[in-house]
Amino acid sequence: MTLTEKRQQQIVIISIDGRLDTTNYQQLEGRVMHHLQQNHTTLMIDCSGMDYVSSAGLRIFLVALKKLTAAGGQLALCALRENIKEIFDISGFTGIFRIYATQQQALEALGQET
Amino acid sequence: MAAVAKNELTILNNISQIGLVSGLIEQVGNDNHLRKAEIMEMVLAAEEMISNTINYGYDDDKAHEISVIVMFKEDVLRIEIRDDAAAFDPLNVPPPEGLEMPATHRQPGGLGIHLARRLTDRITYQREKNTNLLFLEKKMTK
Repeated sequence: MTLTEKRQQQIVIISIDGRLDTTNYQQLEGRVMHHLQQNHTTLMIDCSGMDYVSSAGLRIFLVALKKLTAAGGQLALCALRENIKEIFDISGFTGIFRIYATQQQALEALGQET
Repeated sequence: MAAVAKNELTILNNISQIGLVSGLIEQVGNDNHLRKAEIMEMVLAAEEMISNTINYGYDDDKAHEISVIVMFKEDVLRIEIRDDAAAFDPLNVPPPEGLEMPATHRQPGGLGIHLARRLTDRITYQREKNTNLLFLEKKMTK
C-alpha cells in the first residue's frame, strides 16, 4: 500500500493505493494521528486506488471518524470501488460515513462547511 | 520458513506471512479462472480468520505453524485452516451489535468474523486434540 497526501486549503487529502490490511493499517493510523496532533481536522480519504480493505483497515476509518468528529473536524471519503462498497455495506459503514463519488464532490462538500 | 506445495502452504504465526496465504488463494482462483471479486472475498475471509488466530490465539512467544489448503471442486472454493492455537470456535461469536448505529455509538473492532461469515457460504469448525480446524466454503460463479 502507498499513501500520498496533499493539502487543498485547509483540507488534507490522503490517497490510498493498494491493499489496506492487517500488515499495514498502522501507516494510515499514523498519518491520521499526525494530522490530529497538528490540528488538521478536515480530512478526505481518496479510496480510488484502494482495491482491498480488511477489518484492520476498517477499524482505522472508524477511529478516524470518531476522533475527527470529537475534535470538531470532518472526514469525507471518496471514490470507493464496487468491492469496497460491498465491504462497507456489510460493516454498516455506508450510513455513517460521508461518501462521495469523486474527490471534487468531496472537496465541495467539505469546503462548504469549513 | 514458509513451505509451498501446489495448493497448500504452511506459515508461521507472524502477521507478515499472511500475504503468502492471499497469494495461494489468488493462485488457485486464477488457475481455475474464477472471478477476481469472489476470489478476493475468500482472501479477505481467510485473512480475517488467520489474523485473529495470530493476534489472539497464542499465549506464548514461540513460533507456531498454521497450515492452509485451498481446493476448488464442483464450483466450491474451499479453504482449510489448521492451527495449534487456543481452542476458538468463531461460530460462537455473536454478530456485532449496532451496525446501524451512528458513529458516536459504534465501537471500533469486531468486524473480522462478521465479514468472514458474510463473504462465505459456510464456515465449519472442529477441534481435534490440540488442533483448530476451520473450513471456509464459497460457491463460485464461473
